[in-house]
Amino acid sequence: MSISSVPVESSAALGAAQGAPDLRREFLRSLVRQPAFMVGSAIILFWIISAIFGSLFAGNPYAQNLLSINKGPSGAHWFGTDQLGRDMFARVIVGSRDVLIIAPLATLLGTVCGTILGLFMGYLRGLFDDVVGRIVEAFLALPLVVTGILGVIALGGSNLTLIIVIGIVFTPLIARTVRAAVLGEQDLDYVAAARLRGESSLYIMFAEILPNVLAPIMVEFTVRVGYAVFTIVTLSFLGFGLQPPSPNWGADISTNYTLITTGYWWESLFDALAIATLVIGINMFATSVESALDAS
Amino acid sequence: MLGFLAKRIALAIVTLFILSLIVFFAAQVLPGDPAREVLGPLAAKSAVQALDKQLGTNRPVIDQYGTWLGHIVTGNFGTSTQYQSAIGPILGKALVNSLKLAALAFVIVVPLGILGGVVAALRYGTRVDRVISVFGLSATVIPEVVSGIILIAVFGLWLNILPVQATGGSGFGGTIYHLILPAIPLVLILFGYIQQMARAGTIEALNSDYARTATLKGLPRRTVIWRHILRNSLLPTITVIASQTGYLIGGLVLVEELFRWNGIGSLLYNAATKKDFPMLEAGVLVIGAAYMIVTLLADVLYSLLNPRIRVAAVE
Repeated sequence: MSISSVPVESSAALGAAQGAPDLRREFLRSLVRQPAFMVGSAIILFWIISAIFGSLFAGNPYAQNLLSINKGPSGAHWFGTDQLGRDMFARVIVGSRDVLIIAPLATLLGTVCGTILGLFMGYLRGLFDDVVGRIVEAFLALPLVVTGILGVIALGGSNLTLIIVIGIVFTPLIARTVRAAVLGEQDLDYVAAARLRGESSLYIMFAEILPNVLAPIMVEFTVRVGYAVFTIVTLSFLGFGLQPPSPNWGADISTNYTLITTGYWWESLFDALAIATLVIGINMFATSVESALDAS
Repeated sequence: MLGFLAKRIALAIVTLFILSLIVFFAAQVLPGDPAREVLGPLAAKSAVQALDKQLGTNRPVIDQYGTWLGHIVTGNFGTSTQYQSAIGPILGKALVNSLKLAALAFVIVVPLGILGGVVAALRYGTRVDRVISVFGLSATVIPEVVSGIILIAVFGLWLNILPVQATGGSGFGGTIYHLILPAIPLVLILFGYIQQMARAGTIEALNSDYARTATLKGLPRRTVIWRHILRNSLLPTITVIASQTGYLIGGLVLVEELFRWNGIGSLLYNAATKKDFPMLEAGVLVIGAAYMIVTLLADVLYSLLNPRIRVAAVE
């Protein structure tokens, strides 16, 4: 047991001594070695391309054709047409746009705010940690969707609102993770050394501790993007997001789902499947980033 | 134990108080003039002022909050602006309905999730483990809208074997029959969380010294698993089940809307879209309180089952 662990330890020490580039290469190597990462990235890439160039190859998502409404999937309309005769394939492809803009921005907002808050909570502890901790607890007692509804009511429904609301909702979640990571770093020698050198609290938090807790923050970010998509879809299904006629997965499902049992299943099922592929793709990406970070 | 309980209850009350502040200010202060919101842009100014007076929204904010909190604490939730009747009974009825749906989801998912986790852990690293774990993780991230739509298309249209409207069932069996389809999206999401937790707990217990001792002293594998491993591996599972209650209520908003079920979720949603602020505030607060109570119960249960925590709490 102890014999076999010696070379492993020394190689890890060697890697650390040679600096960050080596670790980064190791991280990337273990990342591309995972099939889940490749599949996840391919799915995400597909939707990014669709969001940017979708209307070039899928057609116009707004064009109505009242002579061919509620038509099933065919060669002319792969995913059929909706109640206004609009091509569902174009709407599903171009519908990825909002989600792909809102989800990363909202998650970024939540990650930045949550990281700052978590650093302060974990480093300062004491009264600040107690007070903010209570407020965070209060937020976490509410389901995401309910906080989202409250936020949309307070700010009105728009894409910017969705970004702000999801950012606010994610802040306490990310703050909790960062706080826990900071607490783990706090008693390590490099923090004590920085304190003894007389560095300011701000310098220790952002220049010393932050680089060392980046790994959990990165994992948290990739996982949260998936939940951001989840929340956007849910809120726009409930009618709190983008308004028609813009193609939007959640809103399209909301308009068309009552027609499923009358037989017009294609008008909402393809939107649902599109969402499913995107969240599974992001999830595969996130879990492989997590295990690659664990490995390196 | 009593000290531990008292401390937890005190903390829960503080958290609820903060929650009430958040809810009140989000719903009452930020949207501007509630009476204008209710009556619309075309209403006469005198009518808006009259409603403002009736709602009490013309008074200072702190004053309003004090009155509101005082009423809530004494069990008076106020009057719904959309139904023009007391909120308490409406809320109570919706809670009971939601509880039925949630109970059915839990009855299905808890045994399934634990079974999935334990089986995956006992087959750790094999294909069985990978299939169960990947399925669990994927199911967790798929929104209820998506699984709901797929379920409606498959079971409501193509196979045509389950009702897609939650309401309409009469009697115990009929209600359950109508609630099966709405419960599945919730089950799918919860399954992943419970399964992951049960799996991690079981793997930890399998690698523990006491499991090795039990095996080495010659106990049959079945006894080791039932008597020594499961008991310890299920502890964290209880916590995760409780912590998912918060999610569950959020999931209810969607599922109840999708399958037309009059529970707390659709009540909140209607209150939000109809700008029924008193109802919205009461509903959100009740949800927060429910979450807090369930978490507290889980902590108590956890410490009762786990002597190590109990001892630590006393010290």
